Amino acid sequence: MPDTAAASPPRTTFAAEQARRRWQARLWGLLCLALAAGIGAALSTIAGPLLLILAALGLRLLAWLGLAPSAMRHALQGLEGWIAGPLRALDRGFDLLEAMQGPGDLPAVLAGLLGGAGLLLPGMLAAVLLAAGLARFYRRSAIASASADLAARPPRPGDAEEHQLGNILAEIALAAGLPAPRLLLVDAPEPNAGVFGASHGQAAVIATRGLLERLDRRQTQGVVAHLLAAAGQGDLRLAAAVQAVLGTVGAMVLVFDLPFRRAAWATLRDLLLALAGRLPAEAADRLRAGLADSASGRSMEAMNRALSIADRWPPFGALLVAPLIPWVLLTLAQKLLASLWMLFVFGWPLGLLWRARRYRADAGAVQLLRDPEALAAALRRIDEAGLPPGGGLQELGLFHAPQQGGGLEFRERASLAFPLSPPVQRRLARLAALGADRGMARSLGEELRALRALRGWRAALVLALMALLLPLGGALVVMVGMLMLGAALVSLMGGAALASLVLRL
Amino acid sequence: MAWWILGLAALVLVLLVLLYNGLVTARNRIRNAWSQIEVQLQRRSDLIPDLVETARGYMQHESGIFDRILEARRQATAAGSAVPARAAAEAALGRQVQGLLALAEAVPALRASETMQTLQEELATTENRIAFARQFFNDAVLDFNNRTQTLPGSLLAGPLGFAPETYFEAPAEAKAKPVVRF
Repeated sequence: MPDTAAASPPRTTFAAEQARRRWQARLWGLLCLALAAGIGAALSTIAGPLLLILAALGLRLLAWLGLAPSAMRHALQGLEGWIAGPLRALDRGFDLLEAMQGPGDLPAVLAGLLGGAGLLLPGMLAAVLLAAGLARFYRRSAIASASADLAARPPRPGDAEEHQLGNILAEIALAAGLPAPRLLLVDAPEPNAGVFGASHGQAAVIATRGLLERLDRRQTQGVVAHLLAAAGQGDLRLAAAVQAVLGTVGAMVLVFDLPFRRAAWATLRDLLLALAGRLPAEAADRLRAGLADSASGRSMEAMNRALSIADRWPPFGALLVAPLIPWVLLTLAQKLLASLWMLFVFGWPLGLLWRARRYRADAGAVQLLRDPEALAAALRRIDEAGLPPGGGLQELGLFHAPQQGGGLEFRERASLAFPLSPPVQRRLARLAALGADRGMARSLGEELRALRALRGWRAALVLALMALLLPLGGALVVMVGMLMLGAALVSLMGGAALASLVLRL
Repeated sequence: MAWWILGLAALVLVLLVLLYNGLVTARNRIRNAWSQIEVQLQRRSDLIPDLVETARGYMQHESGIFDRILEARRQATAAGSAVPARAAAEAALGRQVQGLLALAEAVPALRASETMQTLQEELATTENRIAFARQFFNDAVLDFNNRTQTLPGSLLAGPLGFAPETYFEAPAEAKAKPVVRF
């Protein structure tokens, strides 16, 4: 006989729940930031020296063209003087690395290599600027891009249900103290809704017809309250920032694709237009996809095809390809870094961050409506409908993002390996703690207890699966770690080679 | 030594300015919330003539309720911006409207009329908006009163004339739910 009183989660208030989730989100946000800085530094080993070479070449070209030659030469000398310090430190680091006797020398070697970290600075700075520019573009284009992607339309004037939804939006906006967002509708049978926009002041709620048909007024209020609470808590800006970080990683490896892929040039053009504020918002999706492609395995296939000319015209092809070998090695290392990072490193804390934000928005919705049951009923109703998986990055705005299906989508959306939305059961359990009917909500504790209560062959099966999965998972982590370390080392060597090229210019 | 004192004085001054600005912002939020409530109350007030016109055609035998509702509306408009009086008058008006809607439920022809259905949705959303605007207003009042009555705000609030604000509450008799019999 299960003890229902002990099984139900302890009651909490929406204020306490929001404070708790805010701290969680801050924690995961900091981790995401640190991981983004880490991949930025790793990719800057090439991008930094490359930018320095470009700057030096540009200055030389301007001087050669007769444009203030003395000033250009001064600038060039200043650049060389600034580079010399970190390069010397890097040289010393590599000398120490060659002369290394045992692990005791490691600190000195690391200190030497870290002295060269100044060379990363141009790349890091460019990455930060790029991310800021991309975030601005994604914020501005959010509504137009989402409505183009989902084929959204303005509400029909005579339609009673759509008019009612507009009323609900105005009501909840009053409760949240926000300006009423725009309403757009999608003619789709699945019940779902999302919020998109530049900020809480300029947002649009996009709802499907399925939502209007399946949910009653109270449940719809619950959904809208979640969306407006999320917008009020700053989710729209955060969504743009997340997309910008993912896009920046793609943009930093895009350079390597330029010789091999014509699509890379198109993406580069889109990127520059976006940074200049000239790219139409409808093209935001194309840019997102292009940048994601350059950091995924698909672009490596294009490179393989391009390099296959070595086989097609035996003597000349090989001669053509041979000088490209160091470039190809660098490309492989950087792409491996970027795609492994997206698949195995960044998705996890990002998913946790976004899940904490979802719980926080749920608690915020309870604060707005003072009716946890409205939201819980809406969640149950939408869950019954069984949404089709998918949605890409548009998922960041959705009320309920369906869980990932099979392995195919996992590969196709390599950037987000971890589900962005918490399981409905957990959300219902948290809402029950905030005062909603328990219904079919099960908390994590109950699930664990249920697992523990398994007897006989089922328990043996679970144990065997876990015993099988644990070493496999461990091996995966070690393998990924080794791969990333190797790729980082190749990048470091390549960066150093490029950097020494700078001095000889 | 003199630098220390000067620095400390500057710090205190900055803190005082921040405190004062916080109080003014909180009070302005109340003003803004109040104007939102007034907008929504006006919205309800504007809907009532339509409601009366629509219902009168179907419910000639119930003329008393129409007079009472229009009288309540007149009193609510006359109550002005004094929070407690306005809250009481609006609560009375709200009860009359609910009473009329309950009576209208019993008239099938009226219930089926499209105008009535539209009006009912408009009245429902307006009641919700009033409730949410009131919630936002009361939250703003709570925040302001907390600031003026706790340290360090209470030191500044009295001398600068920040008096505690009143909540928008329905009086006790309005809190009982109307009993509707069909």
